[in-house]
Amino acid sequence: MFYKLLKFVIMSRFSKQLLVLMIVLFAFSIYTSIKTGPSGNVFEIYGPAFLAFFLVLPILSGGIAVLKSDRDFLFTLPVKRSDLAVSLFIVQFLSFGLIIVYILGYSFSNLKPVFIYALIDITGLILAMTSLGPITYSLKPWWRALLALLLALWSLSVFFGFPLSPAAIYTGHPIFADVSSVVLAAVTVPLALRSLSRVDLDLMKTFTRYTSGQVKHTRRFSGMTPIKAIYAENFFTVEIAGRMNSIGGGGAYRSARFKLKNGIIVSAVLAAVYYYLFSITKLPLQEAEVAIMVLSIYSVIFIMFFTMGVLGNERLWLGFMTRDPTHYLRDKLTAKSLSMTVLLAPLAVSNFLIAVQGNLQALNFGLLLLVEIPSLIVIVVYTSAFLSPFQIKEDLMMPGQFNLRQMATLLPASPAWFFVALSYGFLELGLQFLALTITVLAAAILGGIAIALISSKTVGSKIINRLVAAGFI
Amino acid sequence: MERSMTPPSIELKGVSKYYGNIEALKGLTFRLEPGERYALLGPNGAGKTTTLKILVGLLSPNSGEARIGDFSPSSEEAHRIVGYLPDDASPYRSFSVRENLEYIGALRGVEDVSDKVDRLLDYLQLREYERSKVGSLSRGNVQKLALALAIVHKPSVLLLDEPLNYLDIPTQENVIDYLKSFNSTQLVSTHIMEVATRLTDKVIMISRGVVIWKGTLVELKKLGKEGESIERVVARMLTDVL
Ligand SMILES: Nc1ncnc2c1ncn2[C@@H]1O[C@H](COP(=O)(O)OP(=O)(O)OP(=O)(O)O)[C@@H](O)[C@H]1O
Ligand SMILES: [Mg+2]
Repeated sequence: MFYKLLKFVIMSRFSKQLLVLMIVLFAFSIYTSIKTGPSGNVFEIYGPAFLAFFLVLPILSGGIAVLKSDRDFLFTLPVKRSDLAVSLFIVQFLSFGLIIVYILGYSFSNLKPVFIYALIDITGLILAMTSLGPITYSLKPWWRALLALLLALWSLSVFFGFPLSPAAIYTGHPIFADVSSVVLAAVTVPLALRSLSRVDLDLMKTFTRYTSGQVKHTRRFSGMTPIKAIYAENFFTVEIAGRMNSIGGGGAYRSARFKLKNGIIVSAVLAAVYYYLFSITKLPLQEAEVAIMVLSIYSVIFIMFFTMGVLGNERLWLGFMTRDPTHYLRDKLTAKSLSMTVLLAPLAVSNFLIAVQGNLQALNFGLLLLVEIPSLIVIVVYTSAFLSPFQIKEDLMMPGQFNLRQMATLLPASPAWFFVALSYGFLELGLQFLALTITVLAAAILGGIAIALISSKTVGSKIINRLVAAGFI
Repeated sequence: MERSMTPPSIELKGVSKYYGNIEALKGLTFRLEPGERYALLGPNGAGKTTTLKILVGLLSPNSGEARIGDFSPSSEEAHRIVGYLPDDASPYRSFSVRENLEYIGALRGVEDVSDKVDRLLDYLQLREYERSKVGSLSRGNVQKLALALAIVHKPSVLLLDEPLNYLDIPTQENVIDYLKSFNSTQLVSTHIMEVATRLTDKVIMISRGVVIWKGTLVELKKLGKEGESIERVVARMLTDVL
């Protein structure tokens, strides 16, 4: 009975092809982590930083891999609560815990001398990471933020010489690291199982609280011209929507909105920290794998979070009906893309300043932030419309199965990676002019594609037809 | 915005529409004269929703032509005068009731949006929910908001898919009166004969993507035997062609 349930729970959430890909990636990451040689002391710094990041991610973007149909079907079946909880925990692992294998597995190259300790540490962390989603999804945002902050600080505390932290594996305290991560797992796993065994009840409560409620300050659009209204909604307001894949994280869909000007304040602070770290304390921005990792974080986070809701939250019968639908799409995406440029501008400026001081790799990042990511947002929105469009009609639930097509929507981001890596390679070889040319060319090409897509009426109307056929209302 | 007093006609000429291999509409042809009000009847899967989506320019036909007055349904001009309510309409979830209405009002270039919104809110008894987010509304109140969104710009063509679904009886009566007072050409898809007879005076029946009957409700009644309800007549006509 349990295996039947487990199989059903897994298969209803992941397509077969995606499961195969996940297994391949899993094997590949284990293989590379065994094969790769040690890479200097990079992970002493980046190991704890990444760990902090991946402990925060399931809490913030978090949630549980529960489908809309579960409420009407799965939860009404007469199954043992413990079986249900364990099945959902495994699904939770597939959609969240695996990520740590993909990413942190890489750092094993440096941990070979303490391999067994590292294995214990990472196992504890995987269990803890898997548990964080189910534990925190029903908490109020404030509590989630606080918990995220505490866990991040705990990870980063090793920088101040504190050894009793899961991240201490990177700083030469393997036993302390293991104790911390085993304790963390021992606390979080039972809590997660408890939460999953009563997910149907909790979910309804959370759902009611999440959706209920009134707006405190009604936003006024009265008296605005149509174009002003579009910009008020798509430029001056930033929406992030989290519903990520197994490679990127968790299940349920959540969205948050903030004013662009508040976003700029946050990104300016980050930019200052960034500048301080890479210019003043001279962290090794130039290490190849670090560069690529920084890049992957940028792209995954910015692009995924910022593109999910763009079409998913749209309503064809509303916005698109108020003018020529292709013009609405064009104006909306232009506004979104420009909004992203402005939001990322402070970070780009930091990079340009670092570049001026002689670190040419930073120019790559600067252009990536200022031009390539805003362009990729457009490109990814368009590709996802063709590959796996889904309209968001309910919060906190997975709108459907995870599948390969959704992952493919991020493929357009890969040329950007490729160009950055290429340019980096030429920099290493001392071919500065070539590296610069590639950097600038990459930005120009991606920007060009985005502009071409946005301004094409034919592409626009194809997209709209596609959305209608996919059941968008 | 200058708007002519007579509403435009609605016309479909030999419209075919495929979803993959399924031919949902097979050369559908009909015409509504300016100001006429028609109910669009047909069994499940007949192509009613598809027809409406073509008339609002959301889908383009594989062959044939659709017209709103002199305009193509996807043109700016058509969008300005058409009001569309889809089945299972859901407004923007991140907005409150009022924000939805003001946003769409502003996008449509409606003058004095705020006043118009106030009037609609009162008319549809939505005033107490004006600050509520869409997610917290009952299904019926979502439908009221959706209706308000479809008519906030005083359209002269109304294309409505099951407009009275979920509405309570007083609101149904309000909405019926309101829609009847509209000087507009209307096509209303519905399964409820009561809705058809209250809102419209003429009927287009389609089945499997073609028109099988078109005429007035009076003519439709005459097709039945003495004492036979209009539902029975329609049911007989629709099953005969199946
Ligand atoms: N997005 C779609 N993809 C594939 N086929 C579709 C799609 N939408 C509709 N169809 C098919 O087209 C045909 C007409 O569907 P349509 O929704 O227009 O019917 P309807 O008359 O509105 O039915 P109902 O009374 O059930 O609302 C049906 O056979 C349906 O299966
Ligand atoms: Mg229908």
